[in-house]
Amino acid sequence: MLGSIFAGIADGFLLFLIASGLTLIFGVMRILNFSHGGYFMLGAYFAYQVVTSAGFSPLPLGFFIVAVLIGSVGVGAVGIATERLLFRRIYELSDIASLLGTFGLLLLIEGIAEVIWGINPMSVPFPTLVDKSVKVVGVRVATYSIVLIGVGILVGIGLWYLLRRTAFGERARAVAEDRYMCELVGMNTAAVSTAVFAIGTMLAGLGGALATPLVALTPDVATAFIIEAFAVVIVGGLGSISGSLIAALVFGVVDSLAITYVPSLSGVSFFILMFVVLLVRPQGLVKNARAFA
Amino acid sequence: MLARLRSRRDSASLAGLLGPIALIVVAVLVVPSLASGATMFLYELVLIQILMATSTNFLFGRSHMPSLGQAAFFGTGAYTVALVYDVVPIPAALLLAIAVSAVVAFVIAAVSVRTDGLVFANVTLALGQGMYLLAVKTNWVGSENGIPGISAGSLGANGVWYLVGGCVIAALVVCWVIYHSPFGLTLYAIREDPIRLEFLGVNVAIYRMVSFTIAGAGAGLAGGLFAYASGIVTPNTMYWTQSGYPILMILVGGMGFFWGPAIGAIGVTLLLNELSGNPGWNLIILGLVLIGVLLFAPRGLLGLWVDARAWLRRGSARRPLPAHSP
Repeated sequence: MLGSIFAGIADGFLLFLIASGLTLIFGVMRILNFSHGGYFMLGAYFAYQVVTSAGFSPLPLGFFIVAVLIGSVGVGAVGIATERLLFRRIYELSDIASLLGTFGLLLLIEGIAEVIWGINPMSVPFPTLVDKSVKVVGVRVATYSIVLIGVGILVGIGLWYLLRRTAFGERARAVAEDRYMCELVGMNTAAVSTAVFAIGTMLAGLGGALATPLVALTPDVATAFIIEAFAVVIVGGLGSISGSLIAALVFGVVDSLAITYVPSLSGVSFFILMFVVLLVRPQGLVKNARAFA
Repeated sequence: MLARLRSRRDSASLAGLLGPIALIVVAVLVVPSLASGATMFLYELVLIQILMATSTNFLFGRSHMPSLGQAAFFGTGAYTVALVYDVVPIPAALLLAIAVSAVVAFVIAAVSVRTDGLVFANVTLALGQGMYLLAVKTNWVGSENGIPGISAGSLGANGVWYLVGGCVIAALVVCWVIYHSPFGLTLYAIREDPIRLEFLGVNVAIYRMVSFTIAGAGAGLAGGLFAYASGIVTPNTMYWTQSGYPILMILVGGMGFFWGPAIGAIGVTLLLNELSGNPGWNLIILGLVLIGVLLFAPRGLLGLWVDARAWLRRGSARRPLPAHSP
């Protein structure tokens, strides 16, 4: 019981990495980004590429960290390029048209990944030092779960600090509240958008790179993960980072318990939970949050 | 605006129904003497996708209910036929497919119409994907492998073709009548201004639920026909990206026109078939088509055609009409 709750929390933090990026981008650009799953998948492939090109046989933890960072930053760079080239034009469409536009981009990214890496599943081994399990308060937990939880907490604190305690965060929140007003007072809102998009996609890349030891890596990881991330941001309340954190942890734990006790519901539990929450609270857990609360 | 109204009036005249239907009838009669085997299956897919896209357009062009879960109803219809094909005759199986998907759509509508816009899109997406996962995990529908060996009994290859053709034509006529009926026009009014219609005493939620149910029933019939045409049903028919294809077809053809989705369905299905030998590239080209249509031709091919005609009539002095954003 405790063990699967622990594993669920780790999964939840991994989901949070994707969902928080989605939330950031939704908050500032008012766009729900299907292609986020594509950036997640690219992050995983970038890390895979770095790891296999070096060919270490137990994979050293230090090198894995390098691979994860390269994956994350590389995806951020791709994110900046797509924002400049494509998203600029998509922002002006209606919300549904822009959603479909990002769906087009998702297909595009998935197709490119299929051309480059093929559709055979790839895998990355657990890096040394975190490939075992340890006893914590009497339950066996995988050390990699502890890594995921640690990274998730760091990202959560980092986002809070960035948005609440820095000048950049203040600008991002201002644009999220009222982009038009920000433009009137002379703020470079386009630059803020690009920066927020870069951070969001880096988080997706980070999540993807960290997920490599856990998933069989194929291009359709992109379409599989984005649905769960969407469920998280909708249930959390669109635009709320704390809401998406709560929802991600709840989803992670519930699904992990489902895997242990009702295997037939693993994966489906997401959608049942979403169904129930939206019946009770159509607006999500955290309603009408001030920007990113 | 004017051109939009005019184009609607044009398509609402009986000629707007009979012309395209006559074309499809001729095509259905001619194809068996020209094609066979795999080509025949491709044309069956085209017909099925025409029905799928047209019924989905109840949600996009008629109501403002951007569902991303229509594949779930297509799959429901397909699985229904797969489960009953050897115990009941074909018409009963297809009616059952329509009924079961309509019921499922109604239940999903009851929850999802409480939401709007992006949240609605996500709720339908998630519920549809939930049904996909259920299909993958349920043993009595064959889990990942689905249900193979569905046969249409004594109907031969040509018989299945006429079955698909006949059903699609009948369903298109029904769709057209509903689309242009007072009910359909009320949906259109709700799409444009739901609050005003609410004040006029229209029960907006009921209209939206019925619209969703009709679209689900249409998708269910398309799925049932697909089961007979392909002989196998797998969970992949319900995967969420399959819900994206009818939307792509609607956008390519033009969602503001009754026949737009049909034109898009023909184009996209044939394109997908051309690209099927190039894994990866098929997705790349679909993605580019979708982005290109949204950015450069938001009213689709028929919209371009209407603009071009208006432009030719007026001369080049004036700009084309502003795009009708979906």
